[in-house]
Amino acid sequence: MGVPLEAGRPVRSRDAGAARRVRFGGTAGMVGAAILLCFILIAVFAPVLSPYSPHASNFTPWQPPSAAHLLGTDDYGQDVLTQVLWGARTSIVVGVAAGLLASSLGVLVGLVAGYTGGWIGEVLMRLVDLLQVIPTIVLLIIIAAFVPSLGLGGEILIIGFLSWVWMARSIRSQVLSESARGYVEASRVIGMSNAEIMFREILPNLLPVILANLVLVVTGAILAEASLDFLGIGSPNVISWGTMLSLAFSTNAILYNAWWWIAPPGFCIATLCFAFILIGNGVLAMYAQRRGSMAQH
Amino acid sequence: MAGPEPLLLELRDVRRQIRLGRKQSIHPVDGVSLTVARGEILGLVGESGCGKSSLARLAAGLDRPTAGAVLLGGRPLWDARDHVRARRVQILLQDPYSALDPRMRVEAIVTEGLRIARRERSRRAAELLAAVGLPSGAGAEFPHAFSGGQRQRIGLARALAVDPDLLVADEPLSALDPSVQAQIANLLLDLRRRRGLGCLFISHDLAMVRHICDRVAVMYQGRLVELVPACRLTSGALHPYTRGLLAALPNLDPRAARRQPILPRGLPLPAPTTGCPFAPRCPGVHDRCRVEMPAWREIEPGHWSACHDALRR
Repeated sequence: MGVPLEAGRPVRSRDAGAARRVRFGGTAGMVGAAILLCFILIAVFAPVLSPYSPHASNFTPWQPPSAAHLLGTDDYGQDVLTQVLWGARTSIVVGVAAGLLASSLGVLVGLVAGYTGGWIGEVLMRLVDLLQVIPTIVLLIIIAAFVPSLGLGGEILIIGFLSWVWMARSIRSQVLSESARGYVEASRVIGMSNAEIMFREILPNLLPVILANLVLVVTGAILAEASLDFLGIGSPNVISWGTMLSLAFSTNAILYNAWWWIAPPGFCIATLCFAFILIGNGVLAMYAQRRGSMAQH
Repeated sequence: MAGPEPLLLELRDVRRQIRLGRKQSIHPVDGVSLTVARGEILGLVGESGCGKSSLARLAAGLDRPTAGAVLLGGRPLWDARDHVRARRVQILLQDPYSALDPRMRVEAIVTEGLRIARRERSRRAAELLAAVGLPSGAGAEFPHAFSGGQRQRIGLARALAVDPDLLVADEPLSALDPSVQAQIANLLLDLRRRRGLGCLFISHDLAMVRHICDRVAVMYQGRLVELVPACRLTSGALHPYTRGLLAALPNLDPRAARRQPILPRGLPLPAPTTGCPFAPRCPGVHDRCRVEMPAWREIEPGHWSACHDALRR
């Protein structure tokens, strides 16, 4: 047919190889992932790892760390180490579930607002603005005044519905930039529906942004869960780091110098959040490098 | 030629208005009438910002005209319910790098317009890729593995998948090397010959336009100023703007004097409200040009121009 071929085989540039070699966000990201893995293992194997039953409260109260109780005992005669190990379950479950809920909402709203635009987008973004100016923790305290106890499911719902707005914002801006790209217009011309374009074409290109935001949302959810429990709105029957801190606070543990009761849950909350932040930065760095090398093609 | 060729695309006095504020608005396309026949390649040239791409978007159904009608095969492109009758018109974009979804395999990209079973896809993709001169193995790769020219071929394969009648190509060659430009241009000519594909071909490159197009439309500030058979472009251009564009082409003979000076730079914005929009830059401007809008007239068979002096040349 007389069409000359420019190099028939796909060209693989050196950059493409380099992009594949980019590790998962470098060392920091790996450290974050390792810490998270530790916490997940602790949560999963809490029954095996804990020296005592989580409900055993027949030990001498206020004992400092010893061989029998590595992290001492609390005011109620419970083993602190056991509480910390079981608390990991609550934090991770609530954090991840609320984070996923918030992310799904945020992605959905961001996609629709960014792609359809017009009055729908305008209404959605005003809603985001509105939710953004409501101080979350104050709202939680108000809710606490009306609801005696939330339970785990309630906590997940409340945290999820209060933390999707940031996600929606950053997703929307990314969708705006993707929509201006040629492949979206080509898909429109080829007859794909708006839903197909949003979910099949644009969504996969948002994955890095979603992932990076997801870990931040999860971090926020873990902190919010701890705050809820600390304020006593969470479920009092469930062992969590927030509940531990709350009890320590209400029994004046700090006056009794019972650092072994306060420090471990605080340290765990901080470390788990730190791990998620490291992972988030790692994902973003990986994304930036990929984009950079793609732009050169 | 027996009988009139059926008109593929017909633009009837189309306008596109963009509101900038409560009172201000601009008109990227300001009353353009144009036709593309089946199997015809119509070139569209003009400087940056003259409305070429806006016109292309109207022709492809990506934007809806503010006024006027876009007809495809005699039927309106936009139906009564504001839906565009897609798929008969396909586009080929300027930037081959953003034209392909980086997260889809080539196979999925070229067959995404087809509602067919998964098993069918790779077979069909291989056919389409072969039609644009790519090996069948290309389907399994992601777009980043391909060069600009290869990506433009993939974009073309995607457009051909739905068997369109018209291809709107918005500067499909300007991001490519000259040697690759010639290959894609030949591919377009080949597709026109074998499939009767009509094409609205937008370009800055007058030499390329002269080479592959049947007719050439010249656009200035949202209007057509000249429509000329490609073979007459160099020798018979009547509008001073067209002649200015031609004069801007580099001449390989250093001793040859320029027949006409290169146009003065710059767009006078806003355009004059009365008279010829080109008057402020026209080397042959006279009083009549400043007060009276020149009519769009057929000067000789198939050759239209919007200049008061067109007949005198």
